[in-house]
Amino acid sequence: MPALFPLEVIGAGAVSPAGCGVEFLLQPAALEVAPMPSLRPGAKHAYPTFRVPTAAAPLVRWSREPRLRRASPVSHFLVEAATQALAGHDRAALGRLGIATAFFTGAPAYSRRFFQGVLERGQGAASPALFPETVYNSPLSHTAAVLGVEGAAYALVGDESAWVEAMRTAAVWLARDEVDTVLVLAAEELDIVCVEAYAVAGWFRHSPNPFIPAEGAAALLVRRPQGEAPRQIRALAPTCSYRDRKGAERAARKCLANFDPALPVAPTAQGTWLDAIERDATADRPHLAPGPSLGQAFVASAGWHTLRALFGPGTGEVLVPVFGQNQAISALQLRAA
Amino acid sequence: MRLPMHPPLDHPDRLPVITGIGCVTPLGATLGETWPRLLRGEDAAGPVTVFDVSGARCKMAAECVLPPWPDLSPKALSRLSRASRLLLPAARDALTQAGLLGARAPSIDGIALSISTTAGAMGWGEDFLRRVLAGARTGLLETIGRQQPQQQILDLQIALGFDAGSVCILGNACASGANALGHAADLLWSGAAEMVLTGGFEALTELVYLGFDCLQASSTDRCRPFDLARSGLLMGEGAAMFVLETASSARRRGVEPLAVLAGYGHSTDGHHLTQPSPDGRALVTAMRRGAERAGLAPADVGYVNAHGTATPMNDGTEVAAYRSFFGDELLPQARVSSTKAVIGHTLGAAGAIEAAFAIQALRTGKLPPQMQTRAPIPEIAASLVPAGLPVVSGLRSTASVNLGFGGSNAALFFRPFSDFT
Repeated sequence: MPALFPLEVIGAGAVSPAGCGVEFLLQPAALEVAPMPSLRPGAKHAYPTFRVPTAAAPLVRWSREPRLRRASPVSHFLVEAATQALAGHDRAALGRLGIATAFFTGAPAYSRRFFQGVLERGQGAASPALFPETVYNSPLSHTAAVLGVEGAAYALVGDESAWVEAMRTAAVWLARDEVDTVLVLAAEELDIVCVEAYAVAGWFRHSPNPFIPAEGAAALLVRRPQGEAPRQIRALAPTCSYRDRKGAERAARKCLANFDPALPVAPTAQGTWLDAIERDATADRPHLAPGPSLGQAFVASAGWHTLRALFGPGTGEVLVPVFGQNQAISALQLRAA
Repeated sequence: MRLPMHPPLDHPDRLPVITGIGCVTPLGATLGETWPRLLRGEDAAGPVTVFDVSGARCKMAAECVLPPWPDLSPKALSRLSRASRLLLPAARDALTQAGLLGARAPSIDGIALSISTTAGAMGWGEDFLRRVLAGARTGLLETIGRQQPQQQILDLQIALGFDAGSVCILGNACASGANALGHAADLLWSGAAEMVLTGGFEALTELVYLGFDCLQASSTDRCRPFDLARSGLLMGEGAAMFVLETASSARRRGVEPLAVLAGYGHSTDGHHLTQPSPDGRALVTAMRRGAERAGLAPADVGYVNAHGTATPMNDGTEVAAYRSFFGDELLPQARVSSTKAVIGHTLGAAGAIEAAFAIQALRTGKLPPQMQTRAPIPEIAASLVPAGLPVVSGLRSTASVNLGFGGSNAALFFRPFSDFT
């Protein structure tokens, strides 16, 4: 059985509040905060969010795609990011293509609309058009259909650590000769029901670095290295689960102890309670300059951080912390060109 | 008789063996309770009691009686979601059978998890939305904070006192449970893990129930898999968990494997979000891939626990797939049943629960009968397991297959461990 790593990165894509394309992650224009009105009856307050500009041409084209006509925004983000990652490749030359996708909230917009409709209009008014789009793997299914993928395709669910598990899944499939190339994807859409939940969790109250929920997608196209492989996923940390703040601190130390202490860290702080834990756990390591904040889009953010480390100005080996909000701590070691 | 071995099986140390199974189904709180009732064709369908369905088209489901958990106080128990109440006992039983729980058991810290669900604790998400819309301000975090699937995984670790290693939560709809087991086997084969706690869980929730109801995918009649007059599925709930480890790990621990997960195939059907391609080719691909990896020819497969939802689209597709996989000559000799007729469709748990049944069939030679079917689809009629079938001796392999929303297809093939010793 071949070794699981390294993997060669041969394509990338991103959809973020900064725009459609990896280049927008690297040098984003100043983002506008989009207030999202509370769902509570009579409420006058709104929450700050960073939204994807859905009127942008690359995304608008997907609303005309027959398979995606009824799909939720997260499906559009996912297909767009995946398509960017495949751009310039001869699809046939990629061989058997698999898709491993990570989600934190799945498709909350349609889930909320479906159940709110039931609550407001009765069970008999439940919408058959909305329900199929509420299922975790519906965005994955649309993406596979649009790209003509008929092989391996997983929807993985979890916090940011699910991005690392998607990468691990890709490595396992490649080692098992299940596929020749894998799209590793992550996507997140914003809906007010999630934002209300973040408010209930107190996330808007934390830290001087404000928490701003965001949405979007990230994509990496990977394969087993063939010749010179300038960009690589070198290693994944064993994921360390935690149950509380102290446990997260322990998990962070344990997780990062797997990596060379001289490895520079690409900081990923996003205005959450994990910022301090990341800062403490990486205090003894050299740090790259942090990128401008694009808000917190959970698994998609984990993808954006990975893309920034791979395609940003830095070169050589880099450690990317992937600290999950409510489940596990993990990290990736990359080689940037 | 030794079967031919496909090359991956030439790495005998990494062979994925099952050393523990735990099951909570509408027919019982353990596999030991469920299995004889399943063989007798007992029916778990009844009126829905866990939420109001007065405005729904359908009123029936197969509900579980939640197993007691004596170690937890009533207060602590009340903090667990219904989903966790199903998952935890199944996981505990699997770990206990594998010799991994108890005073003298080795630590399972760092064990990998590969677990399936489609809805997690969705009931708490429903409650959150209902209360936010009603203007509630207190008591919200206790539920919404533990709604996501990863929270049930944390409940599991807290209740059983371990820290997991890598956690893979699969949300591949109704094929997801089979995917979780298959992924666990892949983790072992590839060297990414030595031992995996794997399986699936699902609790009935109003949102999902109404979703199938409004799609008219659930039946107002009985669930009649492979029947010409089938009209839809019966919703169910439950959990099945397994300890899967490499043969060398089991040997080191002195544990006798229950069976080998010898082959796993999976594929994606892009035909439609909710309808499989009528020719069943994605399922055929998954079955062929799994059988090939298991070193099996179709004639070696002694029993198939079918997906068999009893929806018009699914069962037709599945019959087409079986005709293609077995061939028209062999199909009448194949033995097939869908246990969803009596325990319902348990969604993210289905692939795991049905895998447990396929393993039990392999170990005992007793096959779950096809219940509720009156006028079977002619092409599959001879294959459906009749009630009262005598014990089948010398079963060489069994399979469990699943299809799901979004075009997920998965097939698992089990063989006796004795084939590899």
